[in-house]
Amino acid sequence: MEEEDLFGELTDAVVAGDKDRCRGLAEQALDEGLDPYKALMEGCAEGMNIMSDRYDEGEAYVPDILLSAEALYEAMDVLKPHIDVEDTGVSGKVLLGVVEGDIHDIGKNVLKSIFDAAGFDVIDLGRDVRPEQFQETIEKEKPDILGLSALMTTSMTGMPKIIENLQKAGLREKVKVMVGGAPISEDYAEKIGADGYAPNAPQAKKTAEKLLKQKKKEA
Amino acid sequence: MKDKMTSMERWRSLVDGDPVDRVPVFPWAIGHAATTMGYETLGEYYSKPDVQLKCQKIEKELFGYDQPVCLLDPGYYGEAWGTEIEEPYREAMSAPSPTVPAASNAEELEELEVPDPEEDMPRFVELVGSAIEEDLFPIVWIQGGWVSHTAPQLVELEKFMKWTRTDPDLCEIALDKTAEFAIKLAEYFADNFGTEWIPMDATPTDANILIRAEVFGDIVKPRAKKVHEKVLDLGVPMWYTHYCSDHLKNIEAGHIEDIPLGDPGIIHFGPEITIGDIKERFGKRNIVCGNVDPPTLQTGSFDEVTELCKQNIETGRDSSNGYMLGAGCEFPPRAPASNLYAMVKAAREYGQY
Repeated sequence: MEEEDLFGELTDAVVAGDKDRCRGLAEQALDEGLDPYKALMEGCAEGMNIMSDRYDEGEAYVPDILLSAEALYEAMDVLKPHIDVEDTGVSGKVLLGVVEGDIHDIGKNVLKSIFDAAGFDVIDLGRDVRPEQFQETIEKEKPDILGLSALMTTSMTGMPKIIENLQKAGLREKVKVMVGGAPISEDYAEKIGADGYAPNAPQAKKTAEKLLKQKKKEA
Repeated sequence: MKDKMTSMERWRSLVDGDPVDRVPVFPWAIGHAATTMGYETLGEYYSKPDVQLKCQKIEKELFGYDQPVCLLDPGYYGEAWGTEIEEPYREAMSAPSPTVPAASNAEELEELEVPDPEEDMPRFVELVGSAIEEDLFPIVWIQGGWVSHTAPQLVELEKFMKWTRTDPDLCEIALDKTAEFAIKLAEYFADNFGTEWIPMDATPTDANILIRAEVFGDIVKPRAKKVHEKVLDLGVPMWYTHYCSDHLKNIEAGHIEDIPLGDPGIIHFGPEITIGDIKERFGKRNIVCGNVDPPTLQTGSFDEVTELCKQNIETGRDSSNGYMLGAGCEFPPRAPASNLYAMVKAAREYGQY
């Protein structure tokens, strides 16, 4: 199969959320000696981009995105071991987590898949994450961006505490902080001293890219 | 301005369709009652029926709102099925939290047996029995038949979401089980304690931020409708349903009208839809409740909350079957007490009839 056709089929398989097909196509790409990084970015990631746009426009829903993400990860499992880190041109490292007291992680999981597809190096701390866990991971992993999610009015109040902790620990200037989730607004993000806000996962990708540019400029 | 009716008189009059002196206030303050009473965490409140009841009675008296006691299963509707629940003994938690679901695959789901209220929910039975015995005319959460009462209570939410596309038959099995459970629970309360209580359900994960209106219409609506019809047939006054989060596509598709709430029932949307629109579309058949923006209740000032309440009251007060001022979702458990008082004060100042 021609490279372009195979990548197109990978895109379609991610859009369809067909994980078996994704795995098969990824293996085929390797068998045919195609560049695994190109297969990932021009095939799979393009599928997630399409789904991300559809979600943003209200044409796709959470179950669709979750299945597409599953298909994406299936292909990534096959392709990643064959990708030379230097080829990836990873644009930034992002630490994600849902703040303590909040177990609603679907939004964060959707975001993670979109970030993975965009080529970010994503560290996911999961849900119900204690402030100290964020701090410890920032010290160890030195991410460019910290993405905090909260779905409840009670848990959103954990966000300023995390930012305060980073300030006290001298880490605040080293990481850009972006926040999101149902009760979060741009005003609230500004009020608590976050650097960025996004109303949904597709928008969050744009916010992250903007923050990364800012961070590089400041460096 | 001084009230002419007591809170209970106002609540009963609203439900009976009789005139009220002013706009009633239903802040949907649940966990907030524990923080008002000085509890650092909500653990004791949610796990001990006597604490839940006492806190709510005292907070209601203290602030003068009209919401009767609003009762939730200490096992959070999952424990009875075998789901592991973490009680909210950590300060950051605002409610019990399902940790390990009762079913992780199709086989386990199919094997689940519908719980028996008396044997499997003794704390909830005690709680509801005590409130009805004290003539508190409570709101009682009856959960079943909706996604929101099935995942994560039986099945992990993300798994359920995927099943809506890959294995919708499994979703239907799970929804049927919780629907049967809700009916059984309501029948138990009616048989043992009478019908002086109002069933309530809340539906965040049935919202269109997660699922398509078509999915809601195909697999959720038939079960929700059945639960509501069966429970109304028991003779309870009405249903109180909180359509949490964005249900705009479910509204557009006409699904919401198809789920009976009684004549009238109580309908409550979040701030995703305005009180004016709710009044116009649902006010002729329902008492309308809502819908002050919860983040403002959490972080806004007394004056900001008062202004939002004033706007809501002015729009909602002439709704055909009555209107009650409420938060757009649960009144945040750790929101300033002054913002709860702002709701009552606004109703007294701007909501007189």
